[in-house]
Amino acid sequence: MVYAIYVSGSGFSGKTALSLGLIGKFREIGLNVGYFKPVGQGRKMVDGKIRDQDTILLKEVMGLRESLDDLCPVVLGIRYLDQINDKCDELRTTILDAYEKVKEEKDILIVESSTRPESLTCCGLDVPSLAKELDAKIIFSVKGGHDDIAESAILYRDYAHWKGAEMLGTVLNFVPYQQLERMKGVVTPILEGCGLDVLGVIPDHRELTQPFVHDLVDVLGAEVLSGRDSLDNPVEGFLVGAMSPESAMSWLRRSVGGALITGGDRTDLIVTALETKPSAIILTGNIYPSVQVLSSAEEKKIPILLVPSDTYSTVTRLDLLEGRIVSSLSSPKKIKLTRQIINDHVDWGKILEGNEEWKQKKASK
Amino acid sequence: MNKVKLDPIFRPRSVAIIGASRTPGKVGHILTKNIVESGFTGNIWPINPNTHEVLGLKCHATILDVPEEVDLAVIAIPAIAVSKAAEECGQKGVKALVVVSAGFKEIGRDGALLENRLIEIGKKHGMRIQGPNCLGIIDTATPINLSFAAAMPREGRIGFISQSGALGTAVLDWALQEDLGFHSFVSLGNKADLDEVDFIEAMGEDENVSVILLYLESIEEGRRFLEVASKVVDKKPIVILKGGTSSAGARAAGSHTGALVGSFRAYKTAFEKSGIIMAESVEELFNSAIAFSNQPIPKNEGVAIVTNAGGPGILATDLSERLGLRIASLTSETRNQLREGLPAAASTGNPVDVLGDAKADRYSFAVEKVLRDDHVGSLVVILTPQAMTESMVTAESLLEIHGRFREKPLVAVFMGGEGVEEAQNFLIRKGIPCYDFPEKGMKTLSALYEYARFLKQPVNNPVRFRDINPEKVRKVIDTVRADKRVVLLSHEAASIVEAYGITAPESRIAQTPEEAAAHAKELGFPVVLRILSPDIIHKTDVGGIALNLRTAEDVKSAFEGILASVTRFMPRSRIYGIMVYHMIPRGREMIIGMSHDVQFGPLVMFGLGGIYVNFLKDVSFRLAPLSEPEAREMMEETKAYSLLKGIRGEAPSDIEALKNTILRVGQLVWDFPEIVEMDINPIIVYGWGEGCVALDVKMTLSKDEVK
Repeated sequence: MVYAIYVSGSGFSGKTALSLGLIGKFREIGLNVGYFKPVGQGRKMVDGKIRDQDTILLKEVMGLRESLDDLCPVVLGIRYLDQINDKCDELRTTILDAYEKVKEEKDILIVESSTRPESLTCCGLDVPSLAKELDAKIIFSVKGGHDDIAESAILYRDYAHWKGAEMLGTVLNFVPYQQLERMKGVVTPILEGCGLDVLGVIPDHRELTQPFVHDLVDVLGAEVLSGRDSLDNPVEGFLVGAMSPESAMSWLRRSVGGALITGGDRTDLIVTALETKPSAIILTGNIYPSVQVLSSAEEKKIPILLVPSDTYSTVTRLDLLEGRIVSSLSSPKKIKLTRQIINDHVDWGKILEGNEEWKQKKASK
Repeated sequence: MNKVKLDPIFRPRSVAIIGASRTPGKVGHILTKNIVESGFTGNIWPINPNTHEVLGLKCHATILDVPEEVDLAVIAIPAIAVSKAAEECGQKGVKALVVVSAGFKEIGRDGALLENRLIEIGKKHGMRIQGPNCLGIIDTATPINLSFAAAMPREGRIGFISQSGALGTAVLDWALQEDLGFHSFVSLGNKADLDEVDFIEAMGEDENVSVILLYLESIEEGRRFLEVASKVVDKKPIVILKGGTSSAGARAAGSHTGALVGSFRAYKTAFEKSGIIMAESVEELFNSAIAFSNQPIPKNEGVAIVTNAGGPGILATDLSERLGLRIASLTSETRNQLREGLPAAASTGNPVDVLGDAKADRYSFAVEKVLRDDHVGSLVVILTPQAMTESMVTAESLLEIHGRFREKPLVAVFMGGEGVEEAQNFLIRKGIPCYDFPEKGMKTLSALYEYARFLKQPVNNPVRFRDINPEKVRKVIDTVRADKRVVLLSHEAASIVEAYGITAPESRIAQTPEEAAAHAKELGFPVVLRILSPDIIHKTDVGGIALNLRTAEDVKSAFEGILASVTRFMPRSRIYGIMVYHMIPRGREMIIGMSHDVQFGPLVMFGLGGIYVNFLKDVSFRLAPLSEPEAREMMEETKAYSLLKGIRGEAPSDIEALKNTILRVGQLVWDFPEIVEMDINPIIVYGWGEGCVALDVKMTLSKDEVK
């Protein structure tokens, strides 16, 4: 019988990275692992249907054979409550049908919750209710580093119990370097004192949350003018360049992997930036730089992206990248890293033991 | 790179013109015609597979067919065909190439690839390359004209190197009209191989060149430039006109070359350090050139002015003060002689006014007496055309008298139009700079003095302290690198300057309020708490600093307060802890900073510190490594220096300790070029003998080893 693990958590708490890592890790030890996202969220239309971006990505990078309709049977739009309208039973059936297909022949099924665990509570299709129905055990991920969020894991555990679901424990994710010791030494004992297992304390891996230059290209609809081979540069932060080159120099030097946003006519800034190894230079207002500048950028392998929008709109659009880790997870480097993280920081053996069958198997070994 | 190697360009024995053409108006035709007409005495070999002769010279299909050795090949064929031609030149054993063809790096990526290929070919065969995308070269001494310039200027002693070819040829055209003599003209083009430094070096060694003029937009190898220029300046002056000095100009230049134009401040500092004279306009560049190529370098400071009109004399005097020239006070002997020989109404002080009715003889008398005066180092003769004026005769006698006082520079200002034109031209042709307005004359004279003063400066070696600990600095840098950071935390930066003998307050790091309180007790109250985060520059702005904490309870609550405030203002910043240090007494707040200039390396800054630094901009700059006089000048150049000396009865600050700190910073950033930005702001200076303390040190490392 399949062992279903329901990965849930607060918003942007690293659920997808956690799911990816668990799939990778369990596959590594020779298990047949599947993925299922009963309720997804979509902003993009693909072939006339709203699709959940994470599912598309996971299907691709994990080589899942099931159809998108089965992997993620229900996709909510932004104003999804309009659409539901007495369709709760229909949605439930859709989910259960898909589940039956997806779990077939699997040892383990990683079930990922939608962005927020409370989605579809009105239909009784919230995470604890579904977990009970699918007989899945919940791992609740929270953003570490914030005491109140860590505590919310207890509240959620109690809520899940009240709904009749079972929670394996919590994972403290994205813990800032300087908070690691505190999370392990102070916060973990407090949570465990309340009967909540802490399955892992994961340090913040900036590499994982950083978008790549090609994500900027996507989100901005930019034209790549140079440095095509460096589109997998990770981008850490943005600098809007409107100052003198001398002032910009000091900022550019401080930021590792920063991207400069400026106008194509600010050649002085562009050539200054080219000396400081930025991850990319974004030129706004559709102003082409001179060929000499481009050939200089090409020589230094620095991507120059041209966008039609003004600086303000560009920055606003870049806000969309916030927390959108997943769009960039496709890099093999990142996928490997998610598995490594599970290996190093998560008690995955304990997760396996959450299932009686596996516990016995392990004991008999 | 020594002179012998550039001889194939300046003094080839034979020249091939690849792309020579029979069609008038084509580049290949103009070049052939120019070299033939220049009077070049070596063999000229036109190369063109489609014709048998060009301008009466036998033409070969390729350079390989030429029956003798060829020193220099000029290439003027489409860019795409240049590699093949260059390769053949290499096989032929040609020593240097002048590539006139355009279509290389300046047109973008494809062109850059062609240019790289050309560089490789040059390296492979040991051929030096001028250009590509240049307008060629002229040497009037050889003589040879391998350029687009219509006619060759008269032979002279000015060497002119220009990054803009068109500006160069325009200037040559003007020089013809002005009858100005040139030794050589070099158009740099894309500087694929030979750049300004190579040509400065070559002209520096050429005894026929007495002044080197440069028009440059960018310098790629700043340190090499400095090194070579400093050596050459000892022998002959270098005058530079730098393009792209305004912010809009820098944009245009950056767009033009695709390279970082660099900060004008760094250029200015570098030129001053190496004794290069800066011109602000093309006119000024050539005005200085005329003076330098014909006039001696003044031996003493006193400037004398002889004029036939009061107004221009007064203007010239005003200008000299502004330009840092000293008006000579004539000896009483000279004054007496002048009084005896000149009309009673004449002014015998300096400026000497010979009055409006002065003819040539009166000028001659005054000029001779003034030049004879030991207090006079140089002379400006101003002439305005009035009814009695004999401009031409005066000019002739000036020339004659100056012949007897060759060691004192003479500058003429003949104001007016047609009436003085003949005299002006006569003087210029005879090597006496002559201008139409006093401003130009005085500016030129000040350039001569600037150079003279530079030559008089003693050679100062950079100061090196021995009580330093580079290993410790290396260790700290390694730790930061290991943490994949480029920005140092306060305590790391402080320990680096301490390793170079600069005092910083003793500090501890706390992770919890209790720890902070314990540190505070050990260090002694009152203490200061400061946030440690590489992401926060302006710590005060985000509530990252708490001052004057007097009890353990204060420290604990301040600790919480800082964390709360910082997480509110900068929620995403990485916090490494909180630094605790004993609060030090107040003193004068100064700043010592450094930014590693891309071209010239560490540029050290000194000025008034604290929160006003960005506002008052009372700062001075020098390039490291620093000598003792340089550190002293840095302090003296700021207005804050008067504060440090003590004003209105205040006690003076410890200037000596401050000077040493500047020198130590210079040594540190010179020893560790990976430090690309650094600020000690403030450095607190105490009273005389009490030293100074680096209160807050910020440092950024280069990204070279990151990733």
